[in-house]
Amino acid sequence: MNWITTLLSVGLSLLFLVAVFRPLEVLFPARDGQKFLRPAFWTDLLFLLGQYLLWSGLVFWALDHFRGWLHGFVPADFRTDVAAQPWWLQAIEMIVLSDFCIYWAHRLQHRVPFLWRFHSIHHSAEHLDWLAAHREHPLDTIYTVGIINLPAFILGFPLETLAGFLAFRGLWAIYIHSNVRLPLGPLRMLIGAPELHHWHHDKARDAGNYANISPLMDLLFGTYRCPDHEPEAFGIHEPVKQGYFSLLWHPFRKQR
Amino acid sequence: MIQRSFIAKVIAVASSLALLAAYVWHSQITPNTPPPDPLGLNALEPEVVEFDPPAPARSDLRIITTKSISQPIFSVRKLSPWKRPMMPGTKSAPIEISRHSFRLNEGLKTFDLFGQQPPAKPAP
Repeated sequence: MNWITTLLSVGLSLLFLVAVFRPLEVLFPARDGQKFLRPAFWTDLLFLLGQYLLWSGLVFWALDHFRGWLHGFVPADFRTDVAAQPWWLQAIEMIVLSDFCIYWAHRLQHRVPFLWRFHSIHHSAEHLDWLAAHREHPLDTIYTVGIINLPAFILGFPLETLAGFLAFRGLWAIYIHSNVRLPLGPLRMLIGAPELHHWHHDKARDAGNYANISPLMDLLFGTYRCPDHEPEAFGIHEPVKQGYFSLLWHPFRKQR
Repeated sequence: MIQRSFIAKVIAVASSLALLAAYVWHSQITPNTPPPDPLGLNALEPEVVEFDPPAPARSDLRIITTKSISQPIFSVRKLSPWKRPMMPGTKSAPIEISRHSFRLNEGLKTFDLFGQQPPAKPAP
């Protein structure tokens, strides 16, 4: 892809996200009165553009190497045994193991100071919407995406066969950050909802709801939290400058 | 007014669900495209000769992503309005790429080309 087609593709992706989420944010707001151009909008837009134009290539490259490195450790017999199972069973194993891994990896991000340095960038957003979902340090992305793909790489599960599901999962992860409150009913317990993830972004650092999509792991390990109102404030207690480059550099600053 | 608001909400939910469904369907049927590589990381890769069954090609690597849509969602590679038109009366020729390979056949009979006796004919 050359740069013109890349920019065109990113522009279309951006328009697509606005078309999906903006009408819902206007008509079903979780917080009334939050404007489209809210504070730090441009910072989060730079995070989105950085992710699409620059960092996704790095993440992809790192994951490809990680997969190749893992390939040398996993015995061929194990992969053969896994592949001999029915396809649906492999898919369920992969999804449950991914959720399990990312749940504990995410809890570690909130516990281990070194990991929190990078993950705090995502939590530094003081206004949540579909765009704020993209505020993530690239090294934090490599960690998260590496962990979530670990079971698929080890099991040798062909993710192409679940491409539609993975696409849904990626889009839903943006949705749970959006400024929307839509009653999903029992479906919420299967695929998660913004009201759950908003509580994860509560200014308190150990706010619960660590699961990536489905809250089942939170229910299982006692971190599920769902009050019937929105948190008072999002963000973190540590002082951070809200500029794009400042946030990228923040994890490498000397900690006081 | 209340009815207009209700209709707007129904349209918003329906259109978002329709776009979500279209995106899921598009992702399922479209081969993965690797993201842009402005850092030139792929160019750093050395050529590797593989003797085992080769790993899947890079462009086939589909990964689970979090907080983002997996790849640029619209493939615009086929839209090339700036592409030069062909000369009249010409047509594009498909590029043929062939792989040279050698195969070791064991157990083949050999015979002496310079011997006195011609080789025996194979049985019908």
